[in-house]
Amino acid sequence: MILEYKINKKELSFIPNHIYNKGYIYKDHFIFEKKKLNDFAIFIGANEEIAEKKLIAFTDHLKAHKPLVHKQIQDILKDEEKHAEYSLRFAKKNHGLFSYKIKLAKEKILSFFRHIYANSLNKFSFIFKPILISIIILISFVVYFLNLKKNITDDNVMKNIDPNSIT
Amino acid sequence: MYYIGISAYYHESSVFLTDNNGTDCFIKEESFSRIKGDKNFPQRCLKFLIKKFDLKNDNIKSICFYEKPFKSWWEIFKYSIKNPFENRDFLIHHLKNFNEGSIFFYTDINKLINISRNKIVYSSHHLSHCLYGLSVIKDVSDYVYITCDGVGEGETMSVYTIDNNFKIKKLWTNFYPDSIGLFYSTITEYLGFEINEGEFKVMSLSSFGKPIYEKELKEIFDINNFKINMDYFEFHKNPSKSFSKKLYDLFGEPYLDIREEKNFNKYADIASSAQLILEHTMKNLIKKAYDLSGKRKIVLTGGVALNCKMIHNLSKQSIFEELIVPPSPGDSGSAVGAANFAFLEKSKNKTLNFNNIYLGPEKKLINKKENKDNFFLKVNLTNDYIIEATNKLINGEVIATYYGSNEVGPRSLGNTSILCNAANHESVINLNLNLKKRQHFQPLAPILLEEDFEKYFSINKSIIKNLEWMGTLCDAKQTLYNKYNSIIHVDGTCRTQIIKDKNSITYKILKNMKNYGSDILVNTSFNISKDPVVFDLFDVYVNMKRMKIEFILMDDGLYQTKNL
Repeated sequence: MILEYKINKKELSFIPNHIYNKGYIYKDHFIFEKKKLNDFAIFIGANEEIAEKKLIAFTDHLKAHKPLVHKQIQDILKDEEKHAEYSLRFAKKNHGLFSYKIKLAKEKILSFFRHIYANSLNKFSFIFKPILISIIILISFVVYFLNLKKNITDDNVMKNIDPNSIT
Repeated sequence: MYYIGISAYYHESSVFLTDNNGTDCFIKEESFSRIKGDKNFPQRCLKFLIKKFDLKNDNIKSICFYEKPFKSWWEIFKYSIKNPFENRDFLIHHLKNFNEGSIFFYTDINKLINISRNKIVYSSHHLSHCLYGLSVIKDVSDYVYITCDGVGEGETMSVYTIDNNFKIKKLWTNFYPDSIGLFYSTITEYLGFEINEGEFKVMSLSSFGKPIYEKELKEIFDINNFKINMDYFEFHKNPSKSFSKKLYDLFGEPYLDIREEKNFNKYADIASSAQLILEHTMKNLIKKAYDLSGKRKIVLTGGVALNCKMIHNLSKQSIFEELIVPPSPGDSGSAVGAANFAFLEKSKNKTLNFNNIYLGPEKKLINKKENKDNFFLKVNLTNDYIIEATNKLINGEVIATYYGSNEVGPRSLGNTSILCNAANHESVINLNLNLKKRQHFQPLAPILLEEDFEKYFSINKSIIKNLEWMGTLCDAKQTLYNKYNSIIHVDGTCRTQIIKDKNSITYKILKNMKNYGSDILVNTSFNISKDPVVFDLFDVYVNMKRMKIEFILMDDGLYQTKNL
């Protein structure tokens, strides 16, 4: 799709809804709202390190045919490095050494499982897709025979609407 | 007792609370989450309101959601399921998202506040738009109400009338997928802009081109019968792309880089043609509304009504006596319409009273006083901070404003704005391109006193009311070219705002500016492009530092940012 439509020229926004499913952030809160500051620092430190490694792999792939993008990502990487460094330094200072190491290791393990979960979503969808298609075919039969009518006009909207109904 | 209207899950989430006795509070979820156009359930807004107004089951009369949740989900699904195999990707996506939408609105509300089930009511999508329109007019029976948007509960265009006893009649409806809103959004996406965000860029871009693709686009959207040719679209079958290969074949490659002149000209021509199709369609819709109702005064709502160029061009065709587009005609403003529905549903023959268009919370309700002292330093040396602010503007300084109540619509109307002297060309360019980081083809908007309007601008009287909230364009006169050239768009128009309220700080500044021979300011919303408008003093401070704006005018003085 990127190659076909040159999607890099298209304006894109970061929409967090897309990653709720992947288990990276809480749907009802930002991470910093949910975690204590020290734990948040560990979370950032551990995950920014991982993000940095992933981005390096990604930029290596882009280096040959998108040198400008490669450079931009390199700049982002420098930031990632700083975030990780500062966060871990803060966490180290505010935790005991033992507690810091345990929590960091725990966060890395959790992150590892989050990635496994995220990467397996496509495989899950491979399994569920036929089930969903079967449901859709069933609904399509029902809809075909339902003969639903639409009201183009309404003489008394407030009288004819049921305010407690969701349909 | 409070009435609460909520709009959420599909476009900018917002909440409107009112007691219909002077307390009004309209807020958007994006103000808290800082995600532009945040469409999630507005839990942060509601938490804010619960805390500020001590909301509980006992003091809430009704909470109204702006549409029928299941109907909204089903109507789109129903269309695509006619061809289940061909549209399977969209259907699977839609089915998977069943529980992500508004179906569980009641559950979401109850997580925050224990409310009796009978206090939760559901309006209808276009009806909420229509009822929001009542906030800016007095004699409801004089008007015909047209709603036109992408889609809501399967409806794309509606025509209503309301009599003096608030009996509402729906005279006509057009249904999904025949939507001029979706047509325009698809062109927006084809040109590489974001749907729901980029439409106003297409509108600005259209002024640079010629409508040479009018004939081709008329094949795609039938302007007389309001029918869409689905061969060119994929929004019913593909959840991530709205146009089909056929549109690609017709106009060539999408998403070209418009920084290259050749691409810019081509895309400007496509935008211009799409704009023309939109205007022809709306003209025919207005004629239809007149035929059905016999009324020549119109209230236009729905996302399509945000196209102020269309409003301006339609006014030149003498097809209506008056046309009013309220400040927030899109889904976000429907929270106000939903609250109005809740009130009308209880009272049967009365709607809410609206005294002004600034329905947002006052700044003092949002912030703690100590935050002001922590981040800002009062700099006005004399008691008259208006004079000091004016001096700075005259000297070419860009000043932020943060006073009064917040605005409802997408446009900042002076209370949460960035101002600079329109006569200072360098300041205007610096503000647009460097501070706000907007595209070069997007002009900035002027703001001036009502009494000075005719000196610089001309407009058809039928749409003049919209100038109070930047709801339309107007034409620049030669006097404007002579003195304020940098605020005029390439087609000779400006999205002007007039100030009437003599007690407002903006009025006083403009009045004072005249002593220095300058009577127009540039007014742009207080945010960087793609960010939400600032809400609390933290946002104000961060945005001022990011944009390198030093001074800010608040309710009680002129302030400077501290270096923390």
